[in-house]
Amino acid sequence: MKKSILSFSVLITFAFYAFFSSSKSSIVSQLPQPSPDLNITPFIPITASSKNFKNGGYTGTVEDVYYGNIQVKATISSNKLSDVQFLQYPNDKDNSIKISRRAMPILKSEAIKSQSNNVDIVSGATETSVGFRKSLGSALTQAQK
Amino acid sequence: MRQTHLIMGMPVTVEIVAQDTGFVIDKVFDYFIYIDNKFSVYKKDSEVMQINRGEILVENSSLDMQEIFGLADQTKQETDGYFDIVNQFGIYDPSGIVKGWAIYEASKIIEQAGFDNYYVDAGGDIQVCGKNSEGKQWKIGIKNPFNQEEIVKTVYLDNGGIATSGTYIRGQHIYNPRDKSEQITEIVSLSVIGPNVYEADRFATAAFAMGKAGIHLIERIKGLEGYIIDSAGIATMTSGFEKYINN
Repeated sequence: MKKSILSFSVLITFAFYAFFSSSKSSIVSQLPQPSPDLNITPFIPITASSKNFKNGGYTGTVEDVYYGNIQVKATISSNKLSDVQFLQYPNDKDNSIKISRRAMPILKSEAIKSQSNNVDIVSGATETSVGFRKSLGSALTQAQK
Repeated sequence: MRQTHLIMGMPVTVEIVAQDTGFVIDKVFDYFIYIDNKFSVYKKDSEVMQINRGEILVENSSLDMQEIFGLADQTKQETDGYFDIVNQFGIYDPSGIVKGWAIYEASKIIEQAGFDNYYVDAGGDIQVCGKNSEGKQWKIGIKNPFNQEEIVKTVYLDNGGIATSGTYIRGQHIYNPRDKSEQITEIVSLSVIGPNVYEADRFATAAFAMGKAGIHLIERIKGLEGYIIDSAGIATMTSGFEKYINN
């Protein structure tokens, strides 16, 4: 367990590195990207890995992201991460929860529609990328063997 | 004065509405780095990983760590187990509660330095105070889960926190052959507004895990309002949410 956690953290780091340094993968656009006009100091720890990845396809672990599972498959060609596919992502919902319905309120629903982007701050989720990183990290672990 | 740094793999932005902010913004970023070094499960020397390896007992850990364990325990009870810092590997991963807590603590650093118009945003979870540089309420956009470049709702806050849980995978052309009709109940985004970002974040995390029923948890808790978006693009809001839309 200890060892796997250690190698895991190194790999996550490497996955990040591989990701941020790759420009071809379609997934790259999903990760937080620094905007050129912002004053950003990168704080991504980069652990140098002397090992190249072995070519092939590697299936990552299934990661529970609370609301479902994420699993990715990493493809290595020319010893570089060339593609990431999602084999699983959150899609099933079991709503069998114990919630008191005695004060069920009338909630308002609406179809979402685009609004002006003229805002001070934007609120959005980052959780999925964590599960994604974990699954990818495990796929890349296999690629290093 | 506004600055963004990439910490914990996400953009962290601090804005303080003032000409001279001294060193307070640096202090805030130093604080986030300190938190990351202490609580990250991706750093082998972090205190939480020392606990995971059994090198430190929780009861002998730092005050910060003990506080987080206490808060996580409390949240687990309050959310009927939908919140848990023990992850699928059986190790402690407090990131689900540390983020909101750290943002709130960081805002206190700014407050204590004597500023009352500011915000702290870490990866889309936000604590705001006072007014923006135009002297108006902070204007916060909720991202479209299907298109990250777009805003689907604007809310106005002058004191409090907002946190969003969700997934953007669907919006990234990731294609599931089974996804034709049956998954209309799936939720893709849940934003919670609360008295502070700590409360908003922990309940957003737990409520998202409940699926569509999560909005009822938010409705039941005094001081919290929520906006949930399902995979069909239908949003449902709690009964008091509209007061944040009309400024």
